[in-house]
Amino acid sequence: MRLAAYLCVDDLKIESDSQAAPLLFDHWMTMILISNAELKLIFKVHFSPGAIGPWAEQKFQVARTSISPRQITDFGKEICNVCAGAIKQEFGLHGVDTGTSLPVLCRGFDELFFDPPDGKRIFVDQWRLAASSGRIGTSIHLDVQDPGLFQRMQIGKTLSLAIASGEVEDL
Amino acid sequence: MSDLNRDVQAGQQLLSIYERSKLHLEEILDRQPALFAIVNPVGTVFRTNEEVARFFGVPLSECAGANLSCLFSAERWRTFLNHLENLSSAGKGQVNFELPIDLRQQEVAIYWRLEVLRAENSPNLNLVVVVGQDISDLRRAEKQLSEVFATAPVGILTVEADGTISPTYSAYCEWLFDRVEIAGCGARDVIFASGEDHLEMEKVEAIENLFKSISGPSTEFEKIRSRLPTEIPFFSARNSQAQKWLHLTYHPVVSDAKIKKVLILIEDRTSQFELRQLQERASILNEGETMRIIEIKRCRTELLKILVKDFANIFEDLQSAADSGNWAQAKNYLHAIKGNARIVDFSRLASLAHDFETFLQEPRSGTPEWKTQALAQADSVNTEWSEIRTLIFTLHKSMGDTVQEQKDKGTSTGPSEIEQILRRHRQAMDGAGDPIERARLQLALKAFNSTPLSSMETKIRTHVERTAAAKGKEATLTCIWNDVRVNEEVWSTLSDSILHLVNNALAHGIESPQVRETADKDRKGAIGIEVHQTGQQLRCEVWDDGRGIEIEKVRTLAVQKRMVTLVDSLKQTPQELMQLVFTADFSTAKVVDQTAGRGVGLSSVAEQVRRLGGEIHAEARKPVGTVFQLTLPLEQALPDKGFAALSDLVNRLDAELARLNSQFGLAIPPIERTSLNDLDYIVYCALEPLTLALTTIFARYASDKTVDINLTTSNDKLCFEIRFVKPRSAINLGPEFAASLPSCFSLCFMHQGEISQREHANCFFIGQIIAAEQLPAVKVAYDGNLNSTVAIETSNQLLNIAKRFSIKIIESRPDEADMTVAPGSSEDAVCEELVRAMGNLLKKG
Repeated sequence: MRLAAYLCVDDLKIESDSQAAPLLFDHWMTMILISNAELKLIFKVHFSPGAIGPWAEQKFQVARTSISPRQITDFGKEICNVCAGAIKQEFGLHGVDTGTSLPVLCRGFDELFFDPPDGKRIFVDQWRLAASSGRIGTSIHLDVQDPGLFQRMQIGKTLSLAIASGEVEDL
Repeated sequence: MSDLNRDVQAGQQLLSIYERSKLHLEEILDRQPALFAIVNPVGTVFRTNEEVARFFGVPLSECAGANLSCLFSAERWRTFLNHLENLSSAGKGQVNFELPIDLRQQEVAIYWRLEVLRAENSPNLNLVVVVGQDISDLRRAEKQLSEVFATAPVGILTVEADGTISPTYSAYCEWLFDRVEIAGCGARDVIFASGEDHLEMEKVEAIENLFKSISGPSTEFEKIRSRLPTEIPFFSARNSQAQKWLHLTYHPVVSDAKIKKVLILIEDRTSQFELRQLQERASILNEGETMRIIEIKRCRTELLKILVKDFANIFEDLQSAADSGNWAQAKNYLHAIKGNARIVDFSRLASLAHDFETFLQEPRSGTPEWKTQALAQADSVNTEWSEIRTLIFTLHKSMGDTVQEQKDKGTSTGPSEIEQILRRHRQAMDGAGDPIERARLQLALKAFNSTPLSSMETKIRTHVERTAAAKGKEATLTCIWNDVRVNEEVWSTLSDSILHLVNNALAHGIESPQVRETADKDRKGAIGIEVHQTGQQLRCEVWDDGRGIEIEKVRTLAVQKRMVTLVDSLKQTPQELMQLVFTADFSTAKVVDQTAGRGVGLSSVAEQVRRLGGEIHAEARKPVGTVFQLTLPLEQALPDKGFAALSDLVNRLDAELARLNSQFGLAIPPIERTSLNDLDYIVYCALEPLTLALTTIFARYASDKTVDINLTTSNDKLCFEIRFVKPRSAINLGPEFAASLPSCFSLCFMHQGEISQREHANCFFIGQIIAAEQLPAVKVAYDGNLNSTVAIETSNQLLNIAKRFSIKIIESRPDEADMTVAPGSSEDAVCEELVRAMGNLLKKG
């Protein structure tokens, strides 16, 4: 709910988008890496200026026309950052310290050529976050080096199930 | 800060730099001018650029997921999809094709290139890179070019490897070769076969090699280029008499160092060739023959035909009269020959006839010696005509047949107007005729020997309509011909030049209707032709209200072409710079583009005009456009003006009008001078021509109505007011009246004539009159001893003449004198000299 609070929207919902796999993309894509020695998680947000424009308008309390394209893409990166912060915090709460990169912006088309981490165990999932005023697509690529990690985290079973089912509401 | 933190920060910064760099690259791709998209096999767009987004009509950021099908009509999309699917299923390769897109009910021609996109890390992706180039401008240019191709007066065709003519050729080819549908025909048959017998063996071999060289290396063409015939005769299959001379230029179409086709440009150079032949012949002929040829070429064919027929009889009669010693009769025939020869400007024949006529008046006629000389002179007149006749038949091949046929069949279709005038002229030349009537008949015959410039209007108008339509332009044509008539040579030159200038105006001056509307101009461009004759000069203006010639571009180009240095060009006036467009070097297509499209053919126009002793200038027309001014000298001589007492002029007019009344039953009363004493005025005019002109005009008015003529003065002019009293049944004057009328008006205009129309009257103003009291004094010097009896007599003669005209005479030194009188001069000579001197003074004054 951290993202809903950041965006100041109260009707944000998760929509499963498995049908679009693996081509979930939009004009822009921003991604962030959360990692430590045992895991690498890439979190991606797909968005178009038209779809997140109303959120930016609401967030910054300015007219859409006075928001520049650069501000829109920065806003998209910030959404990605907020979500990644929540994931990192969740890992921390369960005794797993991770580091995060800065969000990187690229074209949504790059998703087609996205090279998943070459790990032993990869979880891939995608979904949409939609509110009446806008929508984004999100996906994760989780590469776990040590399969016992989630057991040690105690919440491992819950989290892995949540990830697998797309119910990552803690975000 | 720990080292680790610094390393992390550095990594993050590098990532930012990389991100910015990649986004720049993406932006470059976005802005590519061609249509660019990466699509799946059903046309769904994954990546595209702004050009495609523009066609989609949405922002680029909203294009992901759209489908290319929305750019096409259903039918065209099936074609595109077919290419896409074939390529996708092949999994590799590329395909190129042209397929227009349908954008808001408008077709845009696009050349497409589709290529399979392979991504090594995503081998299952089946994507195609689509690149489309908008070639609508190219297609438009091609269309315009093909329209020009169809209307240009140049034959353009290409010869295929198998020696046949390609399907696309300029329409002019069909006219040149006098046949339709030449596509697919053998080029050798069409172009060369009819005249091949007249070519040198080397040229024929070169033609053979030309066809063999196609498909061979381009170097082969270079070997034969210099030997290919550039000027060939061509004989029409339908009409073997219709011979043309064609000028050919050959251009190989080379690809991969091999000749694919040969482009041949063909011009009709028949007239130039004939002229050159004439000049070549003239250079080897004696002066008399050259003169004869030039005189024949100047003469209208129709008139020549009649003359040949008419002279055949007169010369037979002359010969009979000479053989039988009937010299009085011979003199009449000679008079007719002289008159007719003068009409068609056969100067040598006229001169020989005149000399013979003079000889026949000699007092020692009848002696054996005289008779021998007379027969010799008759022989030289006959020989001269025989020479002319041979040349006429050589230059106008068909004429001999026509004359011969008529003679053989003895048929006559009734005399044409020109025959009637010729017959009457012959009668008038017998000596009994009135001199003014003879002059009128001669003027009429001269008029028949000229063509009104207005007769070219239909041709020009059709050309304007067709060319404007072909070029997608709109234009109106205004023509003012002012009844100017010229000989065939001038007519032909002007016709070519005007057509060229009008064509130029349409091609390069007049803008498209859209451009004109944007520039706040009328949709329709305006083109004008205006012709004036002033004295011996013809002035023709061809103007348009198009974009005009950009003088700075002319300057730049002239400097680039080293026709003028930059420094000198800056010193030149716009008019001087503008003259450069008439130089041959400016006549290339490239130059045309760079100088607002002026220059094509202008040099050839200038060359033709200058050949006739004329000049051509171009200047900007106000407020917009360009005007070309052509001036040409005319042969028609301005009559020599002298001075005459007004009473003399009026008496002559009255006498001639009375003669016309009696001859035709007209009822023109003597000229009224209610408020004018004609003894008080002197008229500066050519007395005989003016009398002829005015009486012809008055008679024409009086032919279907009764008239009064009142003479007054107005400033320095005479005013003849012709009042219409009442209409009556028309009287048929001779055809010479109608034929000579334009020339009569011209004569009036040469006397500062003006016409104004009033109710029930027309006013003719003729200048210039001088009150007798205002005549300048004439300074006279006497050549010799003034005290001699002869000198005194001459002096008295002069004083008497001067008194008659109220002229004041002042004796002066020879170096200051206006005239010199030799003691013992005849009265006529003194009078003539005084007229000349007064004429000069009036010209000065």
